[in-house]
Amino acid sequence: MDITRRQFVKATAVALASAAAAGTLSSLVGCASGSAQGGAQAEGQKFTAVCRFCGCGCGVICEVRDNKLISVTGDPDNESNRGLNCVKGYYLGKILYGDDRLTVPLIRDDASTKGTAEGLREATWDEALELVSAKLKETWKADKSRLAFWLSGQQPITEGYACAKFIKAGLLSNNVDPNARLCMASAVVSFMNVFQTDEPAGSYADLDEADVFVTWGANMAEAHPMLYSRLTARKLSGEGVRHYDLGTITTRTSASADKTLIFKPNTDLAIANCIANHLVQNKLYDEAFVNDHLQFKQGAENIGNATMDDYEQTEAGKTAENVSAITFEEYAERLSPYTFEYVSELSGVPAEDLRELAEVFADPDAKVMSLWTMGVNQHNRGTWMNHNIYNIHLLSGKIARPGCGPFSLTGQPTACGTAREVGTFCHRLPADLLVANEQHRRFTEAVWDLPEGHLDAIKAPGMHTVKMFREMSKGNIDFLWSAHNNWAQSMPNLTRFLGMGDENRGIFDTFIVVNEVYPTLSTQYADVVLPVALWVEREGQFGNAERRTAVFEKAVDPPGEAKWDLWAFMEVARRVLDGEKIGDKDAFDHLFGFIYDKDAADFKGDDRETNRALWEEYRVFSNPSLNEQAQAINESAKLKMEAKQLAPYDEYLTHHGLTWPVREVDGTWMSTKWRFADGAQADGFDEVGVATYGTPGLAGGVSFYKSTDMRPSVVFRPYEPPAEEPDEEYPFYFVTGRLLEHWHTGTLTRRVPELDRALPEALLNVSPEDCEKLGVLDGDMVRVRSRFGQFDIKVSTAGRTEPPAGVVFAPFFAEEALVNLAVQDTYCPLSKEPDYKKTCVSIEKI
Amino acid sequence: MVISSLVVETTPERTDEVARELSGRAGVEVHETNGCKLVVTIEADTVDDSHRIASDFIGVAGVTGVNLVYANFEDDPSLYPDVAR
Repeated sequence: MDITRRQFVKATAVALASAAAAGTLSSLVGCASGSAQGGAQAEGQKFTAVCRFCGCGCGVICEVRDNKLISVTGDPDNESNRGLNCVKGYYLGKILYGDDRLTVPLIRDDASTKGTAEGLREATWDEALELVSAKLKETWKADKSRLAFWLSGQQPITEGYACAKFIKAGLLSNNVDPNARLCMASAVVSFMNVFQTDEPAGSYADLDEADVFVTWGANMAEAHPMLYSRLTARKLSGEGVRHYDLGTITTRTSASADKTLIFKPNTDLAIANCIANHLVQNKLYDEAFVNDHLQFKQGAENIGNATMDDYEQTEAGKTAENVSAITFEEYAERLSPYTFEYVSELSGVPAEDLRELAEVFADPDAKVMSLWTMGVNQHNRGTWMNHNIYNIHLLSGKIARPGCGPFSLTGQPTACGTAREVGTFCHRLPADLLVANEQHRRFTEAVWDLPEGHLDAIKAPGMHTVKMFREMSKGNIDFLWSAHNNWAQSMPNLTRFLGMGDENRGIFDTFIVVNEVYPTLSTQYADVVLPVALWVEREGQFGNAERRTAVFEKAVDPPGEAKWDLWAFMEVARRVLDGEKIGDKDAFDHLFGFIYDKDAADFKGDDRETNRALWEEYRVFSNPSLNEQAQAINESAKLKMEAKQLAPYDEYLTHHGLTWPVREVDGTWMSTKWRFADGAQADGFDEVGVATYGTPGLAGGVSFYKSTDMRPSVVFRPYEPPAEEPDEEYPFYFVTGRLLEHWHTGTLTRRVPELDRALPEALLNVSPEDCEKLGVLDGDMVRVRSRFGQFDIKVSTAGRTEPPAGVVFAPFFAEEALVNLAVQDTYCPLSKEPDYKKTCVSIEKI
Repeated sequence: MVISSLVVETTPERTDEVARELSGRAGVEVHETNGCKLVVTIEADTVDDSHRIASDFIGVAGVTGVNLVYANFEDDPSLYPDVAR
């Protein structure tokens, strides 16, 4: 960089930060897609994008010169982050440029080399695609119950949409599930149970207006740093804003909270009921809101634990989802045992702290925002705990208005946009539709132009994630294809799933295809590795936790022979569907002929045109008036599909992201920040939705028009204990999770030497009291054993978390301390999401 | 040289103190103060070094938030391996 260039870059840096501090960054950064900007000195082309890492969905502007990414700037026009990024932003460019990027297809000829770094040889794309296609077709034709696809909350929206269409409409299979099953499924099932729609009513804007924050099992300071920055900024506003942090361990988030309530595992269920009991017994709930909006239910109880493979065939398993209506009085009666005294004894939280928290919800003027992530979702009663948080917000009417609301945070950039909204779950179709619902299948057939009844072949849901891997371990899966995830590190009970014992060695017989950008533990078990484009090496879209959809543009080419994932899926689809018909038409052309020329083995248009075409088809699901037959079904079956309306593709580029439902008002497409809340659309309220489907003038100015009878359900869910509790043999609870520097399994962040140096190895955080009891010191190596497996790790008493006596914590980012070898695969019976937070273990010095 | 800029947020009573502390660090300049926010640049050889310097800010008493606004890494010698694109 010459002096002139350096001066220019530095002046740019100062000007941008100065404008960001003043809140005027937008005027300075303004980015027209792909445009060079700022005169000759700037040189680079600018592209809008979204951060690749966590679930916050922060916007960034990528600057490119000579096909190289040279700078990133926070995108001020993306309302999720308004121009600010966390320090992980330094590495957005660097993740593209690791020395060990996968650049050619790889094939394993000898399955006995699985589980090692050896055995993969380079191949041509043609050889790899022919092999994958032949194996998939062979399994599909022989017994399609033995094939499986494992997708991701990191897979861009249009890619997930095309995959779902191929698997569900082309292969007529439901054996597809995303890794979002491991993080968001409890939130999803609860949203559907309570509201009959999978979405939060509020948005990130609530962070700027709340009076009280309550974090439940969420280390936001590390897992959602930019949102936590907004939370702390609000706290520093000088208006008496408070923050209560609830969890089973003390974290960096606790450090800045006004009060931390450490509870015994699973007693969060009781704490929420205790707050509800206080509101109800003392008539401190919002009576008008309850009368206008709510219905009450209770569900199956004593539902046992999904630890054994046959759980779903047991009586408890078969009835776990049952609910029945009860009266408000009956609900009050069910709550009555949850007194402050009883719950204090159960949870270990002082009664006066419980009372103080309950009073927060009792204050009619306080704007309260609850935030939660994996501590609530990865829970053997994860769906129940989501319910219990909604219960207290619904009783107090603290929902769907600015600064007020229960907000489920997500961990991946597009867990909402792709896994949930597109529906890459084993029981879903796009846009919240369910395979088991006949009208939903008819509607989907209309959008996809399929013969009526075509999708009846998939009316039974397929295998959820844990079942998929359990079946693979037993030798019942012949073909598995994964993309955008690292299951060999992130799945629980890896001792079983990686075939490390004498039994359950099915992984060695399953033909496994892995789409990847770097070598991972999963590629060590792959029969074929397909090298794919990463992040802005192709165009895509992410959908974040606040219903915001944003496009990231293609900015640079992928390295070597790496290709867009979607191209690989299309190339396999055209081979597998060769000779197949849908009606009297060629199956592949009927499904994908609008984007793909199979004779040319390529897309018909460029990245933009392909994405736009896929989006415009996907958009019909939420704009049924674009399809006459779909519109007729939408009206006759009262599906209310417009309730989640999406905008034309180019609007997302123009606005740098939009929050659905997106409504066209006087020719302008406008976001909705507060769902079901009446008010001006231009101010972010759900004016069009309430006017179309709801009832104006009800308590709180809201109308829950997607809920059955327009009344969300308060479902009584009792305290039930963890799946296993400490005993003499396994006296500690083991908790796993994420820390700031490394994201998930470290596939991307551990390529980055500095991040690796900041947190070079995973450490087991143990309380000083337990260290003394165990006779271990800082830095000692210990073996951690559970009923499921074991791993070795170094002890730390000065780690990033401070667990109480009886609880230990280690993150899961490190391959060398593979904690999931010992983590239980017991899952919530309703959501099928595993409980990563409460495996009972023993610890011994080695 | 990697050049980056950040907005560092501070508690109201310690803004000046934080500015003095950060200004004393190698490669760090504090350009202006806007309320409780500092406009800061970091000049360092690599992205890795820049990240380390920025990450250390959070340990400074009075710092409540470290926000990256811009990072130019076109001169980072550790980037851009020789793979055709």
